Amino acid sequence: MPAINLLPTDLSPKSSVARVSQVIKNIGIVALVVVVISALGLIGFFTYISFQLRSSTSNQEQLKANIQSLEQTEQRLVLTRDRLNNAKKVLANETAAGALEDIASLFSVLPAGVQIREADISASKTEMSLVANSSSGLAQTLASILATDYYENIKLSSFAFNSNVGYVLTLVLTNQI
Amino acid sequence: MPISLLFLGVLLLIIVFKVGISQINNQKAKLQKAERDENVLTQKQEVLQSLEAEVLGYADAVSIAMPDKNPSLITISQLKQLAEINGVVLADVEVGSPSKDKKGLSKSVISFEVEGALPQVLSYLAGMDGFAPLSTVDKVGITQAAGTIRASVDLAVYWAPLPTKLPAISESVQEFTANEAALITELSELQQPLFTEVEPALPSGRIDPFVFQ
Repeated sequence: MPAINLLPTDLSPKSSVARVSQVIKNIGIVALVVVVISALGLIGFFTYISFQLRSSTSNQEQLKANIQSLEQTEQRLVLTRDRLNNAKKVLANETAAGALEDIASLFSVLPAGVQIREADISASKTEMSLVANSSSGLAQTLASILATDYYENIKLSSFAFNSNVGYVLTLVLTNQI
Repeated sequence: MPISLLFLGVLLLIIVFKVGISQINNQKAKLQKAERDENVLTQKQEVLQSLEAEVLGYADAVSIAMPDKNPSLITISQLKQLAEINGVVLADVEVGSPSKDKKGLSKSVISFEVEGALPQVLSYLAGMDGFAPLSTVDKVGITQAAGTIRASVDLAVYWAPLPTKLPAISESVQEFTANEAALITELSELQQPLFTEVEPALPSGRIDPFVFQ
């Protein structure tokens, strides 16, 4: 059946206007389709992330329960670390143990005829008084003292000779320059 | 009509993208945080499970080396034992009053004298470094009279209170570092004090004083 147009031809829109109108209408439809597709995509992605979030939260709850059951282990770990930190502080404190070790090895190789009268040993300074009944023993002892590596400075603070006991000397050993 | 359709389409597009993307970004941020937390918890569980068997031994060894209460008595017991081993005489033992050092540790100085032959006294002095609890030698005075060596020693012992709080459950834990492991080994190798356990006496029957025996 042929289309009948009863409107006068003057009232019909110009063809260029009709084309523009058609283009705008098409763009509008495309925009709406894009809106719908985007909305569906976004909702799908949101649901996927939410699912992953829920799964991660449930895993966390399970892990927390497992960690709670290992609380005693954690307590001991914290305790061990705390004690180790305090032990480090103690070990960093000044001690005469190093000086003692050196002096002990020195005293243990004293030649015959050389004796200790007295010694005051601390971490930074050792003062000792020795008696030697011969010059060879004295020389050997001094060589041993010079060979110790704990002290940096060795000072002969007194030296005397007594015909009854022999050589009496006082040494001050320090590790400050 | 087409213009309003276009306007509506563009408006909806803007709204959907703005609202949708901001919601997704929020959710993604939550997911990233949740995954980070989950990784921390997984790592914590693995570390705790891997240390479960040995940490009890470690805790005992380091707690004896670095106690929470004044270890003067234990140290004196160790000093006496060392004196027996080295054949020297331990005398004039005095414990000083406790004080706090610069690092916040509590400290007490034990003063004592040991007497014996030179090699034994030297061996004794060297041995003080090798027992638990940890101590430092403040000073040593050595005198010799009639072939006998007398050493007067000031030995400092330390203690610190135990930790009272556990870290939050979501806080990560680390395994022991190589330095910490080496220190644990060093502390475990120290001569441990001997603790004797007194067994409770068994109940005995009451004696009737009026029965003639």
